[in-house]
Amino acid sequence: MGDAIAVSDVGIKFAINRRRRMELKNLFVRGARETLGTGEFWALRNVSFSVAAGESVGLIGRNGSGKSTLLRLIAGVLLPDEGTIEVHGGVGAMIELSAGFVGDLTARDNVYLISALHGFSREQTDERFDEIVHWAGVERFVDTPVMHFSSGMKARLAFSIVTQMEEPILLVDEVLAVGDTAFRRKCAEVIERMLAEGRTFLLVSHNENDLRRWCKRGVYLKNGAVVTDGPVDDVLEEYAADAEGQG
Amino acid sequence: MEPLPTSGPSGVFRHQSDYAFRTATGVPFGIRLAHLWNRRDVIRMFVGRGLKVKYASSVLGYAWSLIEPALFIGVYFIVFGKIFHSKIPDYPLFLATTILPWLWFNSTTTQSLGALRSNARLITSIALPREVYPLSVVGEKFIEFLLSLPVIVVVAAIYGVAPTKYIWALPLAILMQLVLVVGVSLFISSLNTILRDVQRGIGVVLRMLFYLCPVLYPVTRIKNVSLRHLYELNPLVGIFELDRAAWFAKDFSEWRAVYISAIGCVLMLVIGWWTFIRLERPVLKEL
Repeated sequence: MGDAIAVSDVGIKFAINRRRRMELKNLFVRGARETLGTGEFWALRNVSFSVAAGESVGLIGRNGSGKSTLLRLIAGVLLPDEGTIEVHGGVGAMIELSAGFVGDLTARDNVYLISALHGFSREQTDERFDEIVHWAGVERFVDTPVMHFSSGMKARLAFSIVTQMEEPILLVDEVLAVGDTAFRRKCAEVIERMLAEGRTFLLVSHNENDLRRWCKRGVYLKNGAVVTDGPVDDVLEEYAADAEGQG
Repeated sequence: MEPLPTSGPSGVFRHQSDYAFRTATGVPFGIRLAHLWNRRDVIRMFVGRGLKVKYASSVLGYAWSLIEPALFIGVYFIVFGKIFHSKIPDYPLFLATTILPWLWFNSTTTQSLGALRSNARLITSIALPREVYPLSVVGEKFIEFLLSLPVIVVVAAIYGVAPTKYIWALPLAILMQLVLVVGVSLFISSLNTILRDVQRGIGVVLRMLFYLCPVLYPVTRIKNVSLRHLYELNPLVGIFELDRAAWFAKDFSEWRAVYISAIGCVLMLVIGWWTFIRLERPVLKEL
């Protein structure tokens, strides 16, 4: 079976200021993708690592180190300017708090919409619907537009949808931070169950306890490059030492 | 090692494309097309949802699809038929045959401007072939166009005009226009995401294009041959000639415009899709 995720030599650049000319150049100049124009920076460069099926890996790094960008690339909602990304298996991504909710649709419509976009038929969603809203604890508000939801409710519903999809690969970005204690405990239960089932898990978090608890391996990203890749305890130690060194 | 769940414990088999490969150079077009085909269910859902919202959320619902072109026909008939005394026989039918396809082209183009932007939330959180968003606009507008076709039949019945032997030209015209609007939609939706000027520009372009199409007048009004050849470079000209030939045989003079239009439609499809692919990376970063 081998790797669930293989990232090799990946680079992606963004514009510092929003000058469109750079992007239009993409259209006409071959090779513009590989070179850095003025006002651009590499958010990730020469990043390579792989995640074996069933492995749980934590991405560690300061804000702006490229963790979320990497997760988005693996989720397929960004495309690399350099290198390749291979993903074997369906991905459940909890990247944005909203999971892509359409604000003026009700919770019910959103559940059906997002499930359909993930390839579930109406009938399949019918079967899961009660479970999804029950887990999220929003049964009373299924016909309320999601824009009136609190951020906690949105996060619960999003997490519920993503985990109910039972995809073999789960990507989670920091989102657990917004929930209250009860929600965090419920999430932890789900994550532990999924880990026990042998799913591949990639977590972006600043919470050391979560990282130590769920991830055996850590990847430390700094300024868009992998600094260390190893047992999570070692990587966290190095990260802490590094952070202290920089004040 | 434990056996791995590849499609979830419940054994639900969903997309065939559970293997994804992304590279800086992009995937071959054939694979891209296969991915899109695998997710045609999404296009169907978006189209259905769009139509449902449109028809269920307004009092007149479906009637709007008939009223809107009827009103346009009425206005142009009064202005050009009555005030300017157009001598074209059965002028309302003459207008109807091309105003409907024009409105189809116009609405697809306008709606495509926001096809990616208005779905930014979904695009940045769920990996789908990005083409589904503009193509859903195309599908929705296409069905609306088909639903508005009874207007032509009604106007023809009022004026007692029967379809000519060129009635087969109508499906050909529709097919050609479909190819054209797919290209335009892919082009406009991606370009407008990174270059906001497109939104402003397209309004002006559409207004000028309307007068550069044989909607209010027949192509034969352009007497100068070289001018006419220039005029026929607009792919809508050949399409509208076919649309009209189904009802007004004598106005259908030559195939030249049709050939040129067919080439133009395919060319637009290629340019549109090419642009869409080339701009996909910057578009995803921008959203």
